Amino acid sequence: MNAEPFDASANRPGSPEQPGQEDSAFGRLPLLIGEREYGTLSAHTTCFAYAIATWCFLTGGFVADLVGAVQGAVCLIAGNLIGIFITTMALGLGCQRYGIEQMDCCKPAFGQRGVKIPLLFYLINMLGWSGLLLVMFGNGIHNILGALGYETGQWVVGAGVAFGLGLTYLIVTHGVHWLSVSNSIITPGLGILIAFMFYTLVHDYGWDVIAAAPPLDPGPKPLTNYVIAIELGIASGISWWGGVGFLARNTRSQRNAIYPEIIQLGFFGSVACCIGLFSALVVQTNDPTEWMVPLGGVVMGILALLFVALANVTSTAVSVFASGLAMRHIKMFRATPWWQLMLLLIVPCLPFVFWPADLFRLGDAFLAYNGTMYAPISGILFADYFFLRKQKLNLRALFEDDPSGEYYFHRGYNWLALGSLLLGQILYILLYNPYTGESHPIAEFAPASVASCLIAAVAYGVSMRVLNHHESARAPAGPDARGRRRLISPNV
Amino acid sequence: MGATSERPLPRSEMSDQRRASFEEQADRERLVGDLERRIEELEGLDESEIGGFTALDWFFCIMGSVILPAIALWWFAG
Repeated sequence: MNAEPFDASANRPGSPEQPGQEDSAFGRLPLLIGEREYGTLSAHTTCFAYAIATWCFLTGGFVADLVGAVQGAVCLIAGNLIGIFITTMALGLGCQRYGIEQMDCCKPAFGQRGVKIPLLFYLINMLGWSGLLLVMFGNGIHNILGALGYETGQWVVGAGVAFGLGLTYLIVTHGVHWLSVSNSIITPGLGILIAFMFYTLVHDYGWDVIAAAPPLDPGPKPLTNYVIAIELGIASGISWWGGVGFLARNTRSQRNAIYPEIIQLGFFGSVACCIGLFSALVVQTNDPTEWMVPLGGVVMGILALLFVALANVTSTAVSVFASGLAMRHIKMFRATPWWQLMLLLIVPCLPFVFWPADLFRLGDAFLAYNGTMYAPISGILFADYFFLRKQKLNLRALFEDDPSGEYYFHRGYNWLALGSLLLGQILYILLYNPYTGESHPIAEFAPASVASCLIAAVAYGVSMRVLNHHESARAPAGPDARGRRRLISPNV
Repeated sequence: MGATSERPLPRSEMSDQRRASFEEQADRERLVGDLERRIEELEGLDESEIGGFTALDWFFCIMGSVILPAIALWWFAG
């Protein structure tokens, strides 16, 4: 999704243990093995903490529009696992092997400047989820007031979004340390809330009622609904693209870079989505803030709503904070004061203040659009890392801005990768248009994101082999007086 | 505006600016030096030091994340 996972320690005060450690852990320098935080247990617990978040409710709610409980659960779990696999393998192993940030891991394919395209998608992903979570925050306020007997208009939702944006801005500019405290409360709290919801659903309604509940807003053809639900499940896994590199970079072994992401983000994350799906089907609305009172009663419902509202603001703050760090990849924003950068990132979320209901209705389209953005990128990275470069990157060239660098390509852009990305996106839209909801009959045999990933991978792999064989023969940067190769124009 | 910006800076301001510029340059050199050191260390890492990802791992991941989910999706399509 989603927010690049926020590591509480990334903002801790105090001096680093050795010079440069702060620049590597909190910046772009490659992390040495000894500096990485996650062993097996901590990798699993961290991934679990990221997997259990309020956007799981949103995803489950979107799938409930199309299919019932059984098909929906299969689409969510199987789709998520496939999506995570597509996203994780190349990025996870590459970032772990070299201790690099994921935008740097994209440079061998996209080029030093071409990487701005995945970066733009990353920002769209982060800010889109932020907006949806803030609408959920606004809906939460509206429903709390409703449960307390105050009849309010829909303007309260927009005002809630504005209030949430204000809180987010305060947190990311003045109280980032507060996130680490709140995250240590919110993750276990959300786990308890999800367990409570599951208990209530099974105890008060029973599996028969859940399984028999009709989808909320299905299209005329059941198979098409199922195919779109699969697409949403895969897109849900793929939209972790923004976070997998960060997690993998901080792990000490290759297995720890992959298994926790598949098991926790892929499996347990989708189980949490299923609770959202079941709740939406039983209560017959896809707005998670309308589930709590019917499921838990007024008191428990209001407490749950307050808790979800808090979780939404902190998740938004994490997304905006991570987006700010990503913006530092762009030269013109490297020296921009942090508060200005944060203000700049708040601006694209403002439409959610004025049109919260309309934009929330586009949430499923946005979720699927994550597949449009990241499925072809994942295919290109897969072909590049495993088939073209045989898992060997030129680490020095990742940090070399000089045109002689191996990953500089043509004026900093690898047009073959960008062309393959465009091809993959066009195919995706032809098979499934997230905005109109129309899908091509071929999509019944090959989900749009899988087809888009494969076509981009093949187009990129073949075109690089045929047209770009001379690039690898570029001369590396020259040696210094002691015979070592030196960076000519380091981009840190 | 233009006249103001062309006004010669007082000696103390000039030295402050120079000092800041030297410090920035020193910071940058330290950063690049650290980057070079890290690159050498990571490029010299043996595969065993980062923990292997074997053919068996690939088998488990492909089975668990692709083949079985695809079968489940196909099974429940009807």
